[in-house]
Amino acid sequence: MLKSSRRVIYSLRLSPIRRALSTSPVKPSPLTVTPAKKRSFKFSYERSNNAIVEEPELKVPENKLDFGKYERSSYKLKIGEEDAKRIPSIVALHSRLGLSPSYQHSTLARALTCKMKDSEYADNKQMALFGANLLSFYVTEHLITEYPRLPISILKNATDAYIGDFSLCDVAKNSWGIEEDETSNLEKYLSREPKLFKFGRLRYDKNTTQVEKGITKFDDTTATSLSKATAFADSVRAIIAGVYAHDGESKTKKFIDDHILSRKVDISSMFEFREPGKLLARLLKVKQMEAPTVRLISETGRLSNSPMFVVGCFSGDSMLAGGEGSSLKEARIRSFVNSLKAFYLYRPLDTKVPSDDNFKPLFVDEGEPFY
Amino acid sequence: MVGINFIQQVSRARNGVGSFVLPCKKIVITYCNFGGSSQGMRDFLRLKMKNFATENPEVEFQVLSKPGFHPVIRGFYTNSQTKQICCRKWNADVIENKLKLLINSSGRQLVKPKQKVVSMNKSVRGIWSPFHVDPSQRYKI
Repeated sequence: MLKSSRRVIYSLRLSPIRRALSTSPVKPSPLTVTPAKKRSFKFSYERSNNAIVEEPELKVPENKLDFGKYERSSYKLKIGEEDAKRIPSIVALHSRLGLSPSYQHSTLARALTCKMKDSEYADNKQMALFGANLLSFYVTEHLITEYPRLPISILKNATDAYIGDFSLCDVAKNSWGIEEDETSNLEKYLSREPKLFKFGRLRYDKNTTQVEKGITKFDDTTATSLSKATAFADSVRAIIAGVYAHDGESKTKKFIDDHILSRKVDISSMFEFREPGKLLARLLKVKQMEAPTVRLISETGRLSNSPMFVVGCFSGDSMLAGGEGSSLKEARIRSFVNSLKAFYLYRPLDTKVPSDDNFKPLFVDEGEPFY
Repeated sequence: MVGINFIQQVSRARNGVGSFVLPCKKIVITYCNFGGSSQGMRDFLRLKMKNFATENPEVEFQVLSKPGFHPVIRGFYTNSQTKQICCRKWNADVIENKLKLLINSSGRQLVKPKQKVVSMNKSVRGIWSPFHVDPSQRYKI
């Protein structure tokens, strides 16, 4: 009697339509629209603030989608191609990066000039902005096709690991060998360096100043001051925008593939699960699989000071993942984490990104409805 | 995402995967205009330097006169290290070989490798575990 009644209740609970149709004496409360919560945290690759350039300052090409042809005319001075070819570090950098002959040396010199307070030379601000958009497009499409099940937070974090300020700073400084202009005008004069040579190094308004030896003043912020990492990263972004302007889209994609996406990022170590058991149970419920059960596979030294347990996390008969640890609890949690990672880090074979020629979309999942 | 935190990371360079960027970015050559130990260096600068520099466009060359000192070649690398070689009394051919040595160097300090393979990737096979062996086959103490 009791059993059957329980079953009835259970079936009622499972079918919301029938319950709604049977009796609904209470009027449902009106839907309230809660304003979407604004995310306060932003990754460095998302942080670029778009400086609006007014129409008269901009030469718009006839085809407005021809992004490489936009030109700014609000600066007074520009380093010419002839001058740029006389700067040794620019010529060396051009050759070291394997840029095509159509890539002008003056663009490279401009890419190394950040917006500064007392400078009338053409700066890389708009170029860096466009380069940042190119980078985030190609890196995001690469990650989404490579790991289609990544949660959004991990996806953004992985994008930041590729194209965040610190990563691009490492590209500029430790891979490409871009140097910062650190000598003062007096030092340059004393070393008899030609004035032109300073355009071959990265120049920007620093937001820290060396007051005296051993004392650094931080937060020296003006409208144009940049941190070291941002300035270096902007130079990389600007150089990539230059590739687009001179060589076109497909070369840019190749350049980003070779120089940015070829770097090592370990996505599996980015996850930090707060309650892995709960998450796994919820995931399996959504996928209409049986609830997770953890079974002991083997063990050794239970009564010693260094025991070892190997467990498997099962859903029904299928094992999702194994886990080992020096206590049963540790092994259990590790098996949960491993099975969650086995789901989220799924990689389809022979992936093609949407910007590839013969791209075919792939249906992987219906996604996760509980987020 | 609810319940999943992220740990921030910075990508690591793998020079040669995708693209190769020469680590040697600059070479400074110093010589003395009258010293006997600079004879070979003066020959090199007069006869071979122009060709050598055009053959290596990736590297920025700087030639400085430093009267009264032995000739030195100094390489600057992208990992902010420098390597310097004193070229005292060497002839032009030896100096050219030493310059090639600087250009082909990665800039890292010379160390004796402890492992035969150095890799950023985890082992594909994983560590051998006695627990995954079939119980009937296990080694019994």
